[in-house]
Amino acid sequence: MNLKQGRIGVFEGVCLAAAALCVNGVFGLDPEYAYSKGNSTYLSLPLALMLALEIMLLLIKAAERTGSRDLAELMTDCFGGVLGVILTIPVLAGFVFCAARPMTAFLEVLHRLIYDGVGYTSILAYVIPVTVFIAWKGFESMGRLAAVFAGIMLAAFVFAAVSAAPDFEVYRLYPLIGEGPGRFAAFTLSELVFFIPPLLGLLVNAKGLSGLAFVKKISFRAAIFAAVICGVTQLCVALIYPYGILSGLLMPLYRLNFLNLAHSYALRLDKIFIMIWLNGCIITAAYCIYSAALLYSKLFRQRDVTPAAAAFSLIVCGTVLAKAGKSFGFVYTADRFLTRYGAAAAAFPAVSAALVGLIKKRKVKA
Amino acid sequence: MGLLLVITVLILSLAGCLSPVELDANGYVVLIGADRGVNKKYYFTLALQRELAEQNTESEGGAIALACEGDSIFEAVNELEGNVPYTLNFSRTNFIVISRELAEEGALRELVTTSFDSLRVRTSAVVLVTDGEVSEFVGGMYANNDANISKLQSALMLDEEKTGMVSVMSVSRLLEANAEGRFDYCTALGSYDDGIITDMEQKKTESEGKNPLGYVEKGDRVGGLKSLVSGTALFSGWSMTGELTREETVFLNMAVGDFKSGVITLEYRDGSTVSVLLSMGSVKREVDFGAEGVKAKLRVRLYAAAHLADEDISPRDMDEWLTGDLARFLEGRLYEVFEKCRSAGSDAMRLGTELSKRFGSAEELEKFGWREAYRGMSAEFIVETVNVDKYVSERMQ
Repeated sequence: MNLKQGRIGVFEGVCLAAAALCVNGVFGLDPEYAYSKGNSTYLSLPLALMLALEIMLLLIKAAERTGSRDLAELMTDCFGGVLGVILTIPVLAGFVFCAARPMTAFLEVLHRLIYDGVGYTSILAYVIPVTVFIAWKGFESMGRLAAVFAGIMLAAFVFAAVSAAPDFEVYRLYPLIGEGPGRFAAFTLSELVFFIPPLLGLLVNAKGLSGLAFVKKISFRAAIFAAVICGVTQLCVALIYPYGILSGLLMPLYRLNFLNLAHSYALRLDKIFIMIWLNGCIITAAYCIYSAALLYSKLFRQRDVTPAAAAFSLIVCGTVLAKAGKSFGFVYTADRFLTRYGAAAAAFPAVSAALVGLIKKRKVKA
Repeated sequence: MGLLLVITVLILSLAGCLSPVELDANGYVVLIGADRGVNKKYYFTLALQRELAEQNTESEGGAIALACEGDSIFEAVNELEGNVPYTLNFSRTNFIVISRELAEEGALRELVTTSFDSLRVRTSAVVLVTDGEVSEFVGGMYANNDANISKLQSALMLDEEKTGMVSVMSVSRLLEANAEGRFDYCTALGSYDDGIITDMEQKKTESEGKNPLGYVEKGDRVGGLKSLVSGTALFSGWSMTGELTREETVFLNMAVGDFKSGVITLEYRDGSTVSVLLSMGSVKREVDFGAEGVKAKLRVRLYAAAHLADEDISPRDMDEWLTGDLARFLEGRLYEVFEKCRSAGSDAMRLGTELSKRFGSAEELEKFGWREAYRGMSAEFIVETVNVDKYVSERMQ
């Protein structure tokens, strides 16, 4: 067996999951959809995270009830071999989406705002090998790496927000929930696509986290932590840029200090910050690629995770290039569709597995 | 293991820089100036930071100016890049200087919206409108042999904080004002004074063995830059529609809440002139709308201190004047500035930002039509002044 799971503790697990949730929540959003009719992301993102956590806790309960040790087992226990595999396809797609979406945003910023005249492929040549390398090294390596980078990433978030504080204006938050409660609810639900896959990754890697009890503990802590970070970060962004500007702005967090040059304590630090956050994006992508590969390997009883990891790395790389380079229209359309309605596809297998698992008779495995 | 080695070698081969450039391969544009062209639409002046060859700033420093005509900034940049041995880099641009004529025609829209992301200009750059020729104004900004023109932006903002007589806003605020229409943009209005005797001229006279101030006549302004901030340019949307003097800018800043401290000069009861030192306490801004239209109420609390040479004025009289007459004077001036802004169709006091808090959804806000409502709105200013000297003496006792 070459599943490269290893073992990590609660702290590493929380760092890894929280990094993936924060990166997706902060950098994964489609600005056109998120901000076109008011900005309520500072409320909707924490709410969506709590919803995703609720689904995750139900899944863990179902897994405990059915005696499943991880997500792959839970899917086959609940739906049988064939249906289990079919229902897992949206989960795998969700992992690819959560790996590719923030990376595309970073690639766009690096290409358009930082590396003058450097193509997408050249930039990706620096990013993808590192991502693939981390994914291939396995779960334990990326967990420990996340623990190292979590503090630096958090410090960058805090410093960027604090340095922009003199330019915060409360009126920019208004109208408070954008287009009204209906749109707010729909938008909150749509954001589940960014949070369900990273949380499911913990269940996929349950063995590497020493069992379901630890998965539950880690999911809870990571979701709470990420809800605070995403909420505060989006609030800072909302206090700096009104929704009319945000809908056309690429990665507003990077431009948080662009409002007033002389008042900024973080003069020119934005380029350093984006590199720190890029590390978080790389770890997130590696985590999603590895989780997808491990889930696939377990479902198809593969004894080695690396071929699947290689395949998923290629898919992510191709998706990022196609989306950033706008070379394939269908990738762009699929991305728009997933950011709006992907939550249903991501939540359906998880919710149905949780319901079936909870309805099923309690089973104790030998 | 073999695979690991291959990956390691591949990664090591990438351990360089993306798009490496030599230090002198870029010419950093710190200022973009736009004026009306003769043969083409615009006449652009670009000021580049001159890097110091050594620590001595006596003979080096300042800026290099490049100028040419073009129908767009891209055309001008292409033209200029053909004549210089480096690439023009706009990532350090701090100033956009535009002539009054172009500002009144709304040319800022074309200049800002088409160029910023493409040229990678940071939206923290500050816009200045200038009376007269832009090239002359730009020349006046570094005629003082200032080694670092970038520092001028900080100096301008410091001036805003210290005197309250300057209003500076970044391009980011200009874009915000025009994207949402909750308020109107205003920024510093500059002018060029050729009569100012700069440090450079003083040094030149000194080097000739003459008294550096020997030829200065009474009333001449000595030292500093030839380019000055003479007031505030008021915008309605993308076009400049009016202006405020430096003194009026103090009241604009007070109403907005940007005022920190400053000095105003006015007449005392006996006709003598008195300078009052003011510092900001608080501003409460309320804007509401109903059947009678939009109504704004602004409560401003200021700390005031004044000293008269006349020793006959009792502290009680001074206190009465500072808390009574002065407050009424300030209320009157605030209203006058409001009227001036309104007659220019410019919500430079940003009252629309307060009104936007009254709306429950983005759709309602967008439908409201703030600009029309602003023209018919009424405003009330209530000023409370606190006599700082009285407060201090009471506390000491």
